[in-house]
Amino acid sequence: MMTEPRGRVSRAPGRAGRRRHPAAAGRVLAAGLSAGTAVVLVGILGGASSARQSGGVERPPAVVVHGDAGDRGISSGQPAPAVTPSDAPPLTTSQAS
Amino acid sequence: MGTTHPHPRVAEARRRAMGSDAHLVVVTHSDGRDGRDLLAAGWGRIDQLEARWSRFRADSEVSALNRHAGLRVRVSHDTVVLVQHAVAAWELTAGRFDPTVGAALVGHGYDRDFDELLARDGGARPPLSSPPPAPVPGPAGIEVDPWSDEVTLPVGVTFDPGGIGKGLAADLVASALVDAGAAGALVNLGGDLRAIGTPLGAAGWTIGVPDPLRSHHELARIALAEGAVATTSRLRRRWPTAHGQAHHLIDPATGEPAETDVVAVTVIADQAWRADAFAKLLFFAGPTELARHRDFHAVLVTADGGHHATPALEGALR
Repeated sequence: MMTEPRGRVSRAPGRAGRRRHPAAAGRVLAAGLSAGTAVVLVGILGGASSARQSGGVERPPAVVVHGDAGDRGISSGQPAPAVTPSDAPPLTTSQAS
Repeated sequence: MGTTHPHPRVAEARRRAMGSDAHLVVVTHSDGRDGRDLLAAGWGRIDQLEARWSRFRADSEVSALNRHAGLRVRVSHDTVVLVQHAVAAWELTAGRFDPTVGAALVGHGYDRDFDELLARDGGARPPLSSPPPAPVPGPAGIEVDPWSDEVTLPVGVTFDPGGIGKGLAADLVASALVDAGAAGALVNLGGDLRAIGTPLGAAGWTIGVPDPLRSHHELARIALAEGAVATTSRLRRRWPTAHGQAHHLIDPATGEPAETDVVAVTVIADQAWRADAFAKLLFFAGPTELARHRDFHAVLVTADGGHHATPALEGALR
């Protein structure tokens, strides 16, 4: 079970439902490579050109967070889980962080 | 197909992870996978997420995002999900949780792993000059492209997942343990914990909530069938500065450690990242928020020792 946030950002497709264009993977991977170096997980990509696929397929735009959270109010989500008082020895503690 | 599992078994282990005390518990059936293997897989996944998300590791993906603000950075899908959840938490809490307090935390001296911070200069006051009060930039403008796993932070934004990172890690690891064959699992990362599947006891997973003002006392003890618990407190993760004590709970409106009567908040919600977000909301907004919500249970402790709890938790206070 994956967690998915509510809100507009969560409308972005998850990995399972994502259709990655084959050309994209190759291009992005290539962008992370430079001559004589190993593949790096984190690579800095180019600018606006990386937002468009080759082969006439245009990707949807990246999700950009706009505005002010205060404009949207506090959304409700899943119901709170059932809890009951207990006298059993605690298995673990929710110590403060 | 028979489904009887007469002999549930338990495996558990504790160690440090993500700068906190961590605790994994796995319930398995006698005909299922070995709990020790599942624990090893769980620790491995936690270590992987910490390596990707820690802002104290120069080679982490979060550090790469912060170093290259203004540029598109390709990261793992885990980190895309982290950024999405952090922004969602910001929306969920009307901005009380803000993942862009990183620069303010660094400005106040929290620039390394907390154990290292306390050990620095033998515990002497670090020669810091706190930044002037100013709102943190906020996540507006963060760009997330889940098709290519690219994230762009606006220039001037320092991303810090804070407790959302530990909560989300607990959610992901607990779910992964069940997907891998555990009947039930509990993942506790420094107080951000997630319980899922078959619990250890008939009544549920028994969770203690320490009293923040009285050592060795519990504030509450609950049985949780499934769900998550998160606790946040300004009494933990405090450090000396040239201007007195600072703590890690930065008020996004001022960029300063929050000044509030609330000492600690514990929240029970469906998922740990949401529980942590709601804990931040209550910490900054105070007990008046308690009556506005139906999607979590919570208890707040104020500096005078007072308690404010939602009805389901009133009976669990000790």
